[in-house]
Amino acid sequence: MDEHVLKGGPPTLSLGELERRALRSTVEDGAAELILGLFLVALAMHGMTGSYVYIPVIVLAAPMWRALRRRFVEPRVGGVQLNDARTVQLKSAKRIAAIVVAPVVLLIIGTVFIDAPWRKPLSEFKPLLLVGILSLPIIIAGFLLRTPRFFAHAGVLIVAGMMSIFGVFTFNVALTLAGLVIGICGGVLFILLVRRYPISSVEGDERG
Amino acid sequence: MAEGPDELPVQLLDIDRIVHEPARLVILTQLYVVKHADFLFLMRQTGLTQGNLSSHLSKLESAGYVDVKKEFIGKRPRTVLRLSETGRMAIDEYTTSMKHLLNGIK
Repeated sequence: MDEHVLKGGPPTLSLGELERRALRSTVEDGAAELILGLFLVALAMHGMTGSYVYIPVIVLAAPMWRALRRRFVEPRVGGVQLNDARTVQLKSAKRIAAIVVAPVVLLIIGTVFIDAPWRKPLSEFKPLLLVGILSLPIIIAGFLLRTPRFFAHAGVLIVAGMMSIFGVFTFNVALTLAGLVIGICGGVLFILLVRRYPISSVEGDERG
Repeated sequence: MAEGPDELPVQLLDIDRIVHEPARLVILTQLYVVKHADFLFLMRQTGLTQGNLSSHLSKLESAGYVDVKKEFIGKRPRTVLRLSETGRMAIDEYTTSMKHLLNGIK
Protein backbone atom coordinates (compact mmCIF):
# COMPACT_ATOMS: atom_id res chain seq x y z
CA MET A 1 0.00 0.00 0.00
CA ASP A 2 1.38 3.41 -0.92
CA GLU A 3 -0.49 5.34 1.73
CA HIS A 4 0.24 3.85 5.09
CA VAL A 5 -2.59 3.72 7.53
CA LEU A 6 -0.39 5.15 10.25
CA LYS A 7 1.43 7.74 8.15
CA GLY A 8 -0.63 9.87 5.80
CA GLY A 9 -3.50 7.40 5.72
CA PRO A 10 -7.18 8.21 5.84
CA PRO A 11 -8.21 10.51 8.69
CA THR A 12 -10.73 7.94 9.86
CA LEU A 13 -10.15 4.24 10.36
CA SER A 14 -12.79 2.89 8.00
CA LEU A 15 -13.24 -0.88 7.93
CA GLY A 16 -14.86 -0.61 4.50
CA GLU A 17 -11.88 1.28 3.11
CA LEU A 18 -9.42 -1.17 4.69
CA GLU A 19 -11.31 -4.04 3.10
CA ARG A 20 -11.33 -2.31 -0.28
CA ARG A 21 -7.56 -1.72 0.04
CA ALA A 22 -7.01 -5.39 0.78
CA LEU A 23 -9.12 -6.28 -2.24
CA ARG A 24 -7.39 -3.69 -4.40
CA SER A 25 -3.98 -5.04 -3.40
CA THR A 26 -4.79 -8.18 -5.39
CA VAL A 27 -4.93 -6.20 -8.67
CA GLU A 28 -2.27 -3.57 -8.03
CA ASP A 29 0.42 -5.77 -9.58
CA GLY A 30 -0.92 -5.50 -13.16
CA ALA A 31 -0.95 -9.30 -13.65
CA ALA A 32 -4.66 -9.20 -14.51
CA GLU A 33 -4.04 -6.64 -17.25
CA LEU A 34 -1.17 -8.68 -18.68
CA ILE A 35 -3.52 -11.64 -19.05
CA LEU A 36 -6.39 -9.48 -20.35
CA GLY A 37 -4.07 -7.99 -22.98
CA LEU A 38 -2.95 -11.47 -23.99
CA PHE A 39 -6.59 -12.58 -24.27
CA LEU A 40 -7.49 -9.61 -26.49
CA VAL A 41 -4.56 -10.26 -28.81
CA ALA A 42 -5.53 -13.95 -28.96
CA LEU A 43 -9.12 -12.95 -29.76
CA ALA A 44 -7.91 -10.69 -32.56
CA MET A 45 -5.76 -13.56 -33.88
CA HIS A 46 -8.90 -15.66 -34.06
CA GLY A 47 -10.46 -12.97 -36.23
CA MET A 48 -7.39 -12.78 -38.47
CA THR A 49 -6.32 -16.42 -38.77
CA GLY A 50 -9.31 -18.39 -37.47
CA SER A 51 -7.16 -20.03 -34.79
CA TYR A 52 -8.74 -20.78 -31.44
CA VAL A 53 -5.71 -19.71 -29.42
CA TYR A 54 -7.96 -17.61 -27.18
CA ILE A 55 -9.51 -20.77 -25.69
CA PRO A 56 -6.29 -21.96 -23.97
CA VAL A 57 -5.75 -18.36 -22.84
CA ILE A 58 -9.20 -18.37 -21.18
CA VAL A 59 -8.61 -21.82 -19.65
CA LEU A 60 -5.15 -20.90 -18.38
CA ALA A 61 -6.01 -17.34 -17.27
CA ALA A 62 -6.70 -18.16 -13.61
CA PRO A 63 -3.70 -20.55 -13.19
CA MET A 64 -1.43 -17.99 -14.91
CA TRP A 65 -2.68 -15.20 -12.63
CA ARG A 66 -2.15 -17.37 -9.52
CA ALA A 67 1.30 -18.44 -10.68
CA LEU A 68 2.40 -14.84 -11.36
CA ARG A 69 1.18 -13.77 -7.92
CA ARG A 70 2.75 -16.71 -6.06
CA ARG A 71 6.05 -16.52 -7.90
CA PHE A 72 6.60 -12.75 -8.10
CA VAL A 73 4.03 -10.74 -6.13
CA GLU A 74 3.39 -12.51 -2.82
CA PRO A 75 7.09 -12.87 -1.90
CA ARG A 76 7.30 -9.07 -2.25
CA VAL A 77 4.05 -7.64 -0.93
CA GLY A 78 2.55 -10.58 0.93
CA GLY A 79 -0.65 -12.52 0.51
CA VAL A 80 -4.16 -12.08 1.80
CA GLN A 81 -7.33 -14.16 1.83
CA LEU A 82 -10.50 -12.08 1.79
CA ASN A 83 -13.39 -12.71 4.13
CA ASP A 84 -16.02 -15.23 3.08
CA ALA A 85 -18.65 -12.47 3.16
CA ARG A 86 -16.66 -10.43 0.64
CA THR A 87 -16.12 -13.52 -1.53
CA VAL A 88 -19.90 -14.07 -1.56
CA GLN A 89 -20.41 -10.40 -2.52
CA LEU A 90 -17.94 -10.79 -5.36
CA LYS A 91 -19.75 -13.90 -6.56
CA SER A 92 -23.03 -11.97 -6.48
CA ALA A 93 -21.41 -9.15 -8.46
CA LYS A 94 -20.21 -11.68 -11.04
CA ARG A 95 -23.77 -13.06 -11.31
CA ILE A 96 -25.16 -9.55 -11.81
CA ALA A 97 -22.48 -8.87 -14.44
CA ALA A 98 -23.44 -12.11 -16.20
CA ILE A 99 -27.11 -11.10 -16.20
CA VAL A 100 -26.20 -7.70 -17.67
CA VAL A 101 -23.88 -9.20 -20.27
CA ALA A 102 -26.25 -12.00 -21.35
CA PRO A 103 -28.69 -9.81 -23.38
CA VAL A 104 -25.74 -8.18 -25.18
CA VAL A 105 -24.34 -11.64 -26.01
CA LEU A 106 -27.74 -12.72 -27.35
CA LEU A 107 -27.90 -9.55 -29.43
CA ILE A 108 -24.48 -10.30 -30.92
CA ILE A 109 -25.47 -13.89 -31.69
CA GLY A 110 -28.62 -12.48 -33.28
CA THR A 111 -26.69 -10.04 -35.45
CA VAL A 112 -23.90 -12.39 -36.44
CA PHE A 113 -25.35 -15.87 -36.78
CA ILE A 114 -29.11 -15.57 -37.25
CA ASP A 115 -30.43 -14.55 -40.62
CA ALA A 116 -33.04 -12.14 -39.33
CA PRO A 117 -34.39 -9.08 -41.18
CA TRP A 118 -33.02 -6.77 -38.48
CA ARG A 119 -29.60 -8.33 -38.75
CA LYS A 120 -28.17 -6.08 -41.45
CA PRO A 121 -28.27 -2.68 -39.71
CA LEU A 122 -27.19 -4.12 -36.34
CA SER A 123 -24.27 -6.14 -37.72
CA GLU A 124 -22.54 -2.88 -38.61
CA PHE A 125 -22.28 -2.23 -34.91
CA LYS A 126 -20.87 -5.69 -34.11
CA PRO A 127 -17.42 -4.34 -33.12
CA LEU A 128 -19.02 -1.88 -30.73
CA LEU A 129 -21.24 -4.58 -29.24
CA LEU A 130 -18.28 -6.90 -28.81
CA VAL A 131 -16.16 -4.27 -27.08
CA GLY A 132 -19.25 -3.45 -25.02
CA ILE A 133 -19.36 -7.04 -23.78
CA LEU A 134 -15.64 -7.04 -23.06
CA SER A 135 -15.57 -3.68 -21.31
CA LEU A 136 -18.64 -4.15 -19.11
CA PRO A 137 -16.99 -6.61 -16.65
CA ILE A 138 -13.89 -4.39 -16.62
CA ILE A 139 -16.02 -1.37 -15.69
CA ILE A 140 -17.80 -3.38 -12.97
CA ALA A 141 -14.43 -4.57 -11.61
CA GLY A 142 -13.16 -0.98 -11.65
CA PHE A 143 -16.19 0.15 -9.71
CA LEU A 144 -16.00 -2.68 -7.16
CA LEU A 145 -12.28 -2.28 -6.60
CA ARG A 146 -12.33 1.54 -6.85
CA THR A 147 -9.59 1.21 -9.47
CA PRO A 148 -9.92 4.05 -12.02
CA ARG A 149 -7.37 2.56 -14.42
CA PHE A 150 -9.88 -0.20 -15.21
CA PHE A 151 -12.23 2.47 -16.58
CA ALA A 152 -9.36 3.63 -18.79
CA HIS A 153 -8.91 0.05 -20.08
CA ALA A 154 -12.62 -0.14 -20.90
CA GLY A 155 -12.24 3.24 -22.61
CA VAL A 156 -9.36 1.89 -24.72
CA LEU A 157 -11.56 -1.02 -25.81
CA ILE A 158 -14.48 1.25 -26.70
CA VAL A 159 -12.17 3.57 -28.67
CA ALA A 160 -10.90 0.46 -30.51
CA GLY A 161 -14.49 -0.45 -31.40
CA MET A 162 -15.22 3.12 -32.55
CA MET A 163 -12.05 3.23 -34.69
CA SER A 164 -13.15 0.01 -36.31
CA ILE A 165 -16.63 1.38 -37.05
CA PHE A 166 -15.21 4.58 -38.53
CA GLY A 167 -12.82 2.53 -40.66
CA VAL A 168 -9.57 3.79 -39.13
CA PHE A 169 -8.45 0.18 -38.59
CA THR A 170 -10.03 -3.20 -39.17
CA PHE A 171 -11.62 -4.56 -36.00
CA ASN A 172 -8.91 -7.17 -35.45
CA VAL A 173 -6.11 -4.63 -35.75
CA ALA A 174 -7.93 -2.27 -33.36
CA LEU A 175 -8.45 -5.14 -30.90
CA THR A 176 -4.77 -6.11 -31.14
CA LEU A 177 -3.75 -2.51 -30.43
CA ALA A 178 -6.15 -2.33 -27.44
CA GLY A 179 -4.75 -5.64 -26.15
CA LEU A 180 -1.20 -4.36 -26.52
CA VAL A 181 -1.98 -1.08 -24.74
CA ILE A 182 -3.68 -2.88 -21.82
CA GLY A 183 -1.00 -5.59 -21.67
CA ILE A 184 1.85 -3.05 -21.71
CA CYS A 185 0.11 -1.08 -18.96
CA GLY A 186 -0.06 -4.29 -16.89
CA GLY A 187 3.56 -5.11 -17.71
CA VAL A 188 4.75 -1.67 -16.60
CA LEU A 189 2.83 -1.98 -13.31
CA PHE A 190 4.26 -5.44 -12.79
CA ILE A 191 7.84 -4.33 -13.40
CA LEU A 192 7.39 -1.28 -11.15
CA LEU A 193 6.10 -3.49 -8.33
CA VAL A 194 8.93 -5.99 -8.72
CA ARG A 195 11.51 -3.19 -8.72
CA ARG A 196 9.89 -1.32 -5.85
CA TYR A 197 9.74 -4.32 -3.55
CA PRO A 198 12.86 -6.43 -4.06
CA ILE A 199 12.82 -9.74 -2.20
CA SER A 200 16.16 -8.85 -0.62
CA SER A 201 14.38 -6.07 1.33
CA VAL A 202 12.54 -8.73 3.31
CA GLU A 203 14.71 -10.32 5.91
CA GLY A 204 14.78 -13.37 8.11
CA ASP A 205 11.96 -15.87 8.35
CA GLU A 206 9.20 -13.29 7.98
CA ARG A 207 8.94 -13.30 4.23
CA GLY A 208 5.43 -13.48 2.86
CA MET B 1 -23.01 13.90 28.46
CA ALA B 2 -24.71 10.57 28.19
CA GLU B 3 -23.12 9.31 31.40
CA GLY B 4 -22.77 10.95 34.78
CA PRO B 5 -19.53 12.83 35.31
CA ASP B 6 -18.22 10.24 37.79
CA GLU B 7 -18.73 7.33 35.39
CA LEU B 8 -16.55 8.63 32.56
CA PRO B 9 -13.10 8.08 34.10
CA VAL B 10 -14.06 4.56 35.21
CA GLN B 11 -15.12 3.74 31.65
CA LEU B 12 -11.89 5.19 30.30
CA LEU B 13 -9.88 3.01 32.64
CA ASP B 14 -11.80 -0.02 31.39
CA ILE B 15 -10.68 0.53 27.80
CA ASP B 16 -8.72 -2.46 26.51
CA ARG B 17 -5.15 -1.15 26.36
CA ILE B 18 -3.99 -3.97 24.14
CA VAL B 19 -6.40 -2.77 21.46
CA HIS B 20 -6.08 0.94 22.27
CA GLU B 21 -2.44 1.22 21.16
CA PRO B 22 -2.57 2.84 17.66
CA ALA B 23 -0.29 0.37 15.86
CA ARG B 24 -2.07 -2.64 17.37
CA LEU B 25 -5.44 -1.10 16.55
CA VAL B 26 -4.37 -0.77 12.92
CA ILE B 27 -3.14 -4.38 12.86
CA LEU B 28 -6.36 -5.65 14.42
CA THR B 29 -8.64 -3.64 12.14
CA GLN B 30 -6.66 -4.83 9.13
CA LEU B 31 -7.09 -8.44 10.22
CA TYR B 32 -10.76 -7.76 11.06
CA VAL B 33 -11.62 -7.20 7.38
CA VAL B 34 -9.81 -10.23 5.94
CA LYS B 35 -9.95 -13.97 6.55
CA HIS B 36 -6.21 -14.18 7.05
CA ALA B 37 -3.11 -12.37 5.89
CA ASP B 38 0.59 -13.05 5.99
CA PHE B 39 3.22 -11.06 7.88
CA LEU B 40 4.52 -9.32 4.78
CA PHE B 41 1.07 -8.18 3.70
CA LEU B 42 0.47 -6.64 7.13
CA MET B 43 3.87 -5.00 7.06
CA ARG B 44 3.17 -3.38 3.68
CA GLN B 45 -0.38 -2.36 4.57
CA THR B 46 0.38 -0.86 7.97
CA GLY B 47 3.76 0.67 7.18
CA LEU B 48 5.22 -0.77 10.38
CA THR B 49 8.79 -2.02 10.42
CA GLN B 50 9.48 -5.74 10.68
CA GLY B 51 10.63 -5.53 14.30
CA ASN B 52 7.81 -3.26 15.35
CA LEU B 53 5.15 -5.43 13.74
CA SER B 54 6.71 -8.56 15.18
CA SER B 55 6.70 -7.07 18.67
CA HIS B 56 3.05 -5.96 18.45
CA LEU B 57 2.01 -9.32 17.05
CA SER B 58 3.68 -11.10 19.97
CA LYS B 59 1.58 -9.03 22.37
CA LEU B 60 -1.58 -9.67 20.41
CA GLU B 61 -0.80 -13.39 20.28
CA SER B 62 -0.18 -13.47 24.04
CA ALA B 63 -3.53 -11.78 24.60
CA GLY B 64 -5.15 -14.44 22.42
CA TYR B 65 -6.38 -11.88 19.88
CA VAL B 66 -4.39 -13.17 16.93
CA ASP B 67 -3.71 -16.73 15.81
CA VAL B 68 -0.25 -17.16 14.34
CA LYS B 69 0.59 -20.07 12.06
CA LYS B 70 4.04 -20.68 10.61
CA GLU B 71 4.26 -22.61 7.37
CA PHE B 72 6.55 -23.16 4.42
CA ILE B 73 5.83 -22.51 0.78
CA GLY B 74 8.60 -24.46 -0.89
CA LYS B 75 11.71 -23.36 0.98
CA ARG B 76 10.24 -20.02 1.93
CA PRO B 77 8.84 -19.57 5.45
CA ARG B 78 5.52 -17.79 5.78
CA THR B 79 3.74 -16.49 8.86
CA VAL B 80 -0.04 -16.49 8.48
CA LEU B 81 -2.07 -14.34 10.85
CA ARG B 82 -5.75 -14.58 11.62
CA LEU B 83 -7.93 -12.63 14.03
CA SER B 84 -9.26 -14.99 16.71
CA GLU B 85 -12.85 -14.90 17.93
CA THR B 86 -11.59 -13.29 21.14
CA GLY B 87 -9.82 -10.63 19.08
CA ARG B 88 -12.95 -9.99 17.02
CA MET B 89 -15.00 -9.59 20.19
CA ALA B 90 -12.33 -7.32 21.69
CA ILE B 91 -12.50 -4.98 18.67
CA ASP B 92 -16.31 -4.94 18.77
CA GLU B 93 -16.28 -4.13 22.47
CA TYR B 94 -13.57 -1.51 22.00
CA THR B 95 -15.40 0.32 19.21
CA THR B 96 -18.66 0.25 21.18
CA SER B 97 -16.93 1.64 24.29
CA MET B 98 -15.10 4.33 22.35
CA LYS B 99 -18.24 5.44 20.51
CA HIS B 100 -20.05 5.57 23.83
CA LEU B 101 -17.27 7.56 25.45
CA LEU B 102 -16.71 9.96 22.56
CA ASN B 103 -20.42 10.65 22.24
CA GLY B 104 -20.19 12.23 25.66
CA ILE B 105 -17.46 14.69 24.57
CA LYS B 106 -19.60 17.00 22.41
